[in-house]
Amino acid sequence: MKSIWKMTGLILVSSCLLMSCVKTSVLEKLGLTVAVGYDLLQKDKLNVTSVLINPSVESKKKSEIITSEANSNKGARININNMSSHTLVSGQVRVVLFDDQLGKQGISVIIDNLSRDPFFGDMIFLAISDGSSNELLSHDYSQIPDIGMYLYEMLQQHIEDDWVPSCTVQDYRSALYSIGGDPILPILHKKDDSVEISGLALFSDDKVVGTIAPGEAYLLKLLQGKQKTDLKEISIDRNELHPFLLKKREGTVRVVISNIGSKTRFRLTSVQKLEFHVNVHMNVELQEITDHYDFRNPKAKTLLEQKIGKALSKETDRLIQKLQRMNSDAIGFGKVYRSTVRGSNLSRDKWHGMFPSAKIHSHFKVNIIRTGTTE
Amino acid sequence: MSDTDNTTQKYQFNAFMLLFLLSNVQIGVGIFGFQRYIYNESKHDAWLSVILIGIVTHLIMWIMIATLKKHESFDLFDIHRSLFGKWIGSVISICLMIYFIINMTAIIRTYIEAVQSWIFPDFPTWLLSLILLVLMVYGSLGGIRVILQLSFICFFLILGTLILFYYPLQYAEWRRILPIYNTTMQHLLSGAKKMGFTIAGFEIIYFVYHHVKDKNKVMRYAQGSILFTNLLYLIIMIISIVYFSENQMPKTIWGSINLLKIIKYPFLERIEFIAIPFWMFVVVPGLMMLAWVLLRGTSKLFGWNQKLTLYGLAGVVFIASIFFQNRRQIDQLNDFIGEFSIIVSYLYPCLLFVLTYAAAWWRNRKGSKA
Repeated sequence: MKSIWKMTGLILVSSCLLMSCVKTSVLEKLGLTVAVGYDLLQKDKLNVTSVLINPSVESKKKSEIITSEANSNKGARININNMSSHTLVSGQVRVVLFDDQLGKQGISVIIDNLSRDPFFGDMIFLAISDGSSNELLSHDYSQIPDIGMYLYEMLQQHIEDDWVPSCTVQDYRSALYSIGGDPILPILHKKDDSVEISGLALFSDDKVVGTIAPGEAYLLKLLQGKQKTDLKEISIDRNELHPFLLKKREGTVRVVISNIGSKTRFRLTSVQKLEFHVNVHMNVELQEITDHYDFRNPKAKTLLEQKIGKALSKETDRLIQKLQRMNSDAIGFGKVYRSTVRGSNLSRDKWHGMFPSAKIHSHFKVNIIRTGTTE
Repeated sequence: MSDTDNTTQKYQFNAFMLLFLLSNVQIGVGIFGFQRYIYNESKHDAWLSVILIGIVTHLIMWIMIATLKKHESFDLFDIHRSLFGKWIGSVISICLMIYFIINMTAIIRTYIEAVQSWIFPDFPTWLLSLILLVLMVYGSLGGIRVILQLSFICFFLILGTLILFYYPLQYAEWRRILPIYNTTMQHLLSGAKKMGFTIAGFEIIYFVYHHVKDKNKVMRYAQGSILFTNLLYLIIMIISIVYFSENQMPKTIWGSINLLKIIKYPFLERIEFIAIPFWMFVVVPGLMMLAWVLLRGTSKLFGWNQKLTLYGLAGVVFIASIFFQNRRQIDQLNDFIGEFSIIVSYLYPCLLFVLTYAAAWWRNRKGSKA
């Protein structure tokens, strides 16, 4: 009996102690930020746009947009807080945008500070906006009620089954702080009354140095080994396929393939000459061919496989040369170098000095496993 | 010793409970962020350092149990007295107890730091310290059996947490671990040394040994327990190496919590907010075990009342823990403890082992002469 009293006393005392010690967060009093956009103004000033889930329930619009100028990220948050009827919290931020001007100047400071705050998750998507991110976020789209969630879902969908490589904070920081390897982020573009992902921004360290189109991004994701089922259009010269084409004409044949499964292998063939070989083995399904092609002949399939492989490796070589020109090792050849050469003592700067002069050859082995339901 | 004779059935336990007890005392707050300290020394070969210290720990455990076997039913306090005499023996025992008190402070303060920097930035240090210590006192009053049962539960909790580390593997880049052994032995060793704070704790075998019922099985279960800890650290280390990139790791203070940061369920978006408070379950039995050891010591050396000593001990640790104000001080404390635990848990047992056998040999010679 005595021990029960003791216990009750203990519970009472401890609950009294615990009652008011930690700051509580009442949902109704919070302004949940869903997306943030950063724009560079003159002289290191930032223009920060916050998209909140609209706290006032009666309002027709689902999101509320607050913009503020500031010298620092948290400084903007202080300003924005002053303009909001609710306490701003950042635990629900899903997308962070940077405008291209800021991208060219470097964004790692902002991102480092995001991950300093434990309330920002590591799975937030980062993207570069083509033009002002404020404009992109604050535009009143007729089809999109909640731009923050829309961007998040759009990016997520494209990462999961399309050509966009994963662009979370973890991906960005992991690439930025790796030895040999540069980050990439998708570019969002405001197109009249809608938003599209128009390509990928290439980084050299934390600065945007160039862009690539979706077609090239497909190859990039393929080389990273993260490409899942996705369509790719390839054009092949008619002359090269002519034995099995029914009609003889000049021009090109367009072939659309979908990737079923691929394996990429990087090999450093010569350390002195800095020569890499990229071997990609692809199982594909033929989706479309813009001409009558004679699949009944067994040699026809082999020829088409060879030609597709050739076209792909040509495109890949061009992509890699482009990366080398911009000195942005988005594929991660430096990682291959670091992990194969013993005692290389590679550093980021050292690799940026070596990468543009590396000789990189790619070779595709394509295997058409089926041609759809017809031949 | 007279104490051994009246160690009744009540205070004895089966050897297999050591399996849970030792690993639980070892695994505590060190696991939150041990990765970067080792990584700073031996880079991407840090996992080799973890293996290295693991093997050494197995050896030391063997040495410890061999020493204990020679002394039959003594615990470390008795061993000190019989090897070094009453005075020097007591001084060494007191030093050891001070080490344990500092260790407790370090554990409590590091845990509070984790809670404050991840979940509640404005949580007062004293309050959380008080909560932990009240739990510790409450549990310790129940004696060693309560501690054993708690550590039994914790074992499964730790196993459950281990499953969560599967998620970061999706972001793994296995190439980061290559080339294997691209460092010098010296770096590997200094990396291994940095594991001190994280891996220490198995020295409590010195104190629980004579409470074990079936002593012939102690070796098996104690080694098993250490193997579990080593594997856990090794797995987490390897996952961290392949998850964090080369320059990202040194910037990451709480490596293991950061690994959990990417886990996302539709109903629970941030698992680390649950994992950290949950970990209190794992931290408290470790504290209780240390308190238990301290109480044995004070009652043996000074004959103090155990209950009052326990309250006093909690008070001392409480004051010591609120003494630390910022991250730097906590880091320094952990560094200090780490260095010290290498001496206490690794070097000192070897010395004891040698002395024990030397003493036995000496006695034998004297006996044969007579």
